[in-house]
Amino acid sequence: MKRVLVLVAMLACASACDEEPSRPGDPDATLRTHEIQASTPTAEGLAYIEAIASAHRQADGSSGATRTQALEAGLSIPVPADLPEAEVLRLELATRLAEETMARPGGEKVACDLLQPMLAPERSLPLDRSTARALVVLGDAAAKSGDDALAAGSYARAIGVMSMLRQELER
Amino acid sequence: MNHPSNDDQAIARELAALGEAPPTDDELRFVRGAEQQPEWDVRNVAVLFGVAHPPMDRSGSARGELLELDQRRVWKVVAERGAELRKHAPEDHEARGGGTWRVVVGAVAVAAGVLLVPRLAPPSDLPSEADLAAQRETLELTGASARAAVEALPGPVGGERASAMASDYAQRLATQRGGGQR
Repeated sequence: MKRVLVLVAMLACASACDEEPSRPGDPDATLRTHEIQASTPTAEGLAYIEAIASAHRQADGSSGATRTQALEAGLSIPVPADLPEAEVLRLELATRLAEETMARPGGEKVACDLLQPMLAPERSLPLDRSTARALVVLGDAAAKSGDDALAAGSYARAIGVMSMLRQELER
Repeated sequence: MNHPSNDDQAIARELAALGEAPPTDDELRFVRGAEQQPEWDVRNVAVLFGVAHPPMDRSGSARGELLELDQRRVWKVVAERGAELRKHAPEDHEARGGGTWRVVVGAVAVAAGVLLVPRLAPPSDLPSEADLAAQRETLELTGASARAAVEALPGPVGGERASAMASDYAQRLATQRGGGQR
């Protein structure tokens, strides 16, 4: 069964932490995570993972718009049922697509639009390095587009994920 | 108020325990001001410290938070140590396990600690241009540190990882099918 870990970091200074609610425009560092458990393998699951690996290979062998299209095509592949691993794969693809998009003029807003819903504070995120990486890229995109609150919140959440990963490793 | 308050005395005691010099009048004024209206960067320090030290790991006080003054002073040392670690990051990337995670932890410490560089400007409703520039610089340093930590994380990413997952998944599927046929 999926174990859900919840870490809620409230935004306030140390002494006022209990009294002051976060204000509009404050960074939101709320972090909810869950562990990805290996699923029972199926032929559909294997086909999906291989298709994602293939999308990455196509992206590796191309550049510019063709590379972006290959990554977008990977993201549009329907996820089969009972494949929790797909969450990590989609995050990796989306992060790479966001990085590609950010390289274009004005692409940082598109990158934010792509990653923000996947990494929304109200969502539980996989406790995985792909989450930390995606949050850092979202932070970069937000900083570049002038949304400092989103950037600070994303960086803080990335640090939270890395801190939790280290603790998992030490167990 | 010329007499030291209980909070002032507590701060002085904590600083003494940390081997730090007693608080100056400016620092005490800052702490009082910050209690009334926390600055943007101070709030973020609290967040970063909080997420870098999840509640289950905290010891001592119930929430394990740092006083403002502690944050501004003690973490300066952490930031310097973290920066030193980052300088050596390329060599440590080659190391496995502990070495790699030392880099990650170092960078995380920098991200948390870098925000604690002392700025004793009094809190104000509208941040000045200098405040905004400092916030921007802080954000960039935090981003750079978070990026360094992510890059130091062990394991393949992107296509390499997807290929590795496909191989592993295919093997598990074959094992399962083999088991089912027996």
